[in-house]
Amino acid sequence: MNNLKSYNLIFFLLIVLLIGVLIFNLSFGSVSIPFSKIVAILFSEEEVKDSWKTIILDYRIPKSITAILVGSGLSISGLLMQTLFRNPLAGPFVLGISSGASLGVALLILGTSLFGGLGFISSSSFGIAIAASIGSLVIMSTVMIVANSVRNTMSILIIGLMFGSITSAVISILAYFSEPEQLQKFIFWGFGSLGNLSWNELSIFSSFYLLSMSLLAFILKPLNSLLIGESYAMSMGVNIRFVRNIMLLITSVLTGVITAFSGPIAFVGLAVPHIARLIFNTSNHTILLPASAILGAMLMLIADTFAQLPTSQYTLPINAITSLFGAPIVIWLLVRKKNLYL
Amino acid sequence: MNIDNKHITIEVQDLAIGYTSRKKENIIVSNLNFKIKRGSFVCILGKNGIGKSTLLKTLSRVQNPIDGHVKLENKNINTYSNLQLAKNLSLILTEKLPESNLTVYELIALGRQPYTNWIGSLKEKDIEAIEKSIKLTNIAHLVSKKYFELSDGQFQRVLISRALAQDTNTIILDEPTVHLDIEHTLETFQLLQKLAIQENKTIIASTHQIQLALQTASEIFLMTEKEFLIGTPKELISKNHMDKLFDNESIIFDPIKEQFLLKKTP
Repeated sequence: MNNLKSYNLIFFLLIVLLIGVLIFNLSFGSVSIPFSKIVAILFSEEEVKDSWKTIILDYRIPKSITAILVGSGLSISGLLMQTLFRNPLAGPFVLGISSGASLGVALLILGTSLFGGLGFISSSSFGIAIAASIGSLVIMSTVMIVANSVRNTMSILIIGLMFGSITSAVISILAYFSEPEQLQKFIFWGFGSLGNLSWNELSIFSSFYLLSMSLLAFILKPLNSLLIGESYAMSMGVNIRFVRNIMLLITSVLTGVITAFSGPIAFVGLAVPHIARLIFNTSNHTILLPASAILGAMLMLIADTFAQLPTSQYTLPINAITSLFGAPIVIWLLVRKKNLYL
Repeated sequence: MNIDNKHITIEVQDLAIGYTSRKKENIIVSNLNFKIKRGSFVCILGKNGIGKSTLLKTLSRVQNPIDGHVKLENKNINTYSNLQLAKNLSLILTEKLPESNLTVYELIALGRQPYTNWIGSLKEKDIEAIEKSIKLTNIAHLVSKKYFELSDGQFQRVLISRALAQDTNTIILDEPTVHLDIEHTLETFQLLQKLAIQENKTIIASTHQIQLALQTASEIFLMTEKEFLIGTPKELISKNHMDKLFDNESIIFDPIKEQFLLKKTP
């Protein structure tokens, strides 16, 4: 409508900001590399120290790409969940899908001492990825089956929460019986990390990401009519069951793959859509989807930059950083606006 | 009734309505047969729980009939695709909308969804339809507001406007004036009557506003526990059918004043 121009301006500024944050993210790390050298590594044939080249090309760039995929993916999942459940406090965690992924990983890392014989798989990050994906897929299918027989979206939300409780209970039991080294390994995975991905893993990650993003084309229009409720959406020709299943599929695959490769990362999916709504002052999904993706990517890049503790050799757990960022944002939104809208 | 079939919007044959729970059928009304002409304003009267909503849900295919069938524009309603149905019939419900940042204009524009492309972009024709429906409902001054800023009366007009933008021959409303004060109730009935007469819309609404229904509707469906009566307001009044609406004998219908009165207790 008439404020289309101002939307375009905000988008332009956000993209400029995103590029800025990306450069900032690439420039900082435990080893300080001059900015001119980073540009040289990326764009020219100039001779640069081999170790710097390796750090930039095989560590920092994959890490930045991971941050962008994780941030945008979780934010879009969160936005879809909030619309689907007509609940502004919904997020990828609420459905129990992240917990499902965690359960898969827990069974793999912690369960090997109980069942034995699987130790060789648990040592590879790829094994963890597969376990997490299977875990989220199982929970996703269960929720989808339940969603088909339960009409009320509030019930689905509560069922998701219950699945979360069950899985965390199973994880506690597994943790109680497992060996200290395995427990340590699981806890480290649970901290979340963006930096452990090789180019190979990243290509698997991004193909899942692109696949689920392309499904968005099917539901772009129905998403807006869902804003006024399922009955109205149905009266406007929307096939609710189809749309609901596509939405569950997108959020489950995105959350599963993200959790697998970078651990459970909290609050991004819940907080970012609200920041997008605050900036653009709209509920229109054609605006909110790209806005959430850009803002989510930006937030993850900033969180990662902080996690690197510039010039120190330590890396903080990314999950702790996003919670430290995200939780106050949600509290501030609730206090300031008194009420969160879709 | 001898009505030319070309002008029939809704026809119901041997319809039984109700709901099934635990594989048991609860029939509320059966053997319904009626035709609704294009451009009629039908009000469904009856006390709470008598089945007004069930009838509306069955007519709009939200719920399946237990027996018989509903024909919309001379075609069985079950043969319509979701999209076809959305182009022929629009709904206005009593349920509350989830709170969101939608503006009034965006809300009305959603009514164009059955006609727009995959991304929902509005073409010239869509904008014309939206503007026409805004004009018909007199809400041009509200379009840039967020819908949760509106009063109940304004909001009802916006919902009617959205249904008009959907450009359907038939509009079905479930108790459209339930939250409204008397002024907005009067205006809503006036508006519905105008839409039926001027725009040739078939409007079916359930309501408890008996006096207003008798004054504005072209046809009344009277639902009681024993009977399902159909007629123009004049017919129902002259045949003393209105008294059947309540079992309570101390409530009587005064045919001259066209309203219900409480019998004075001695």
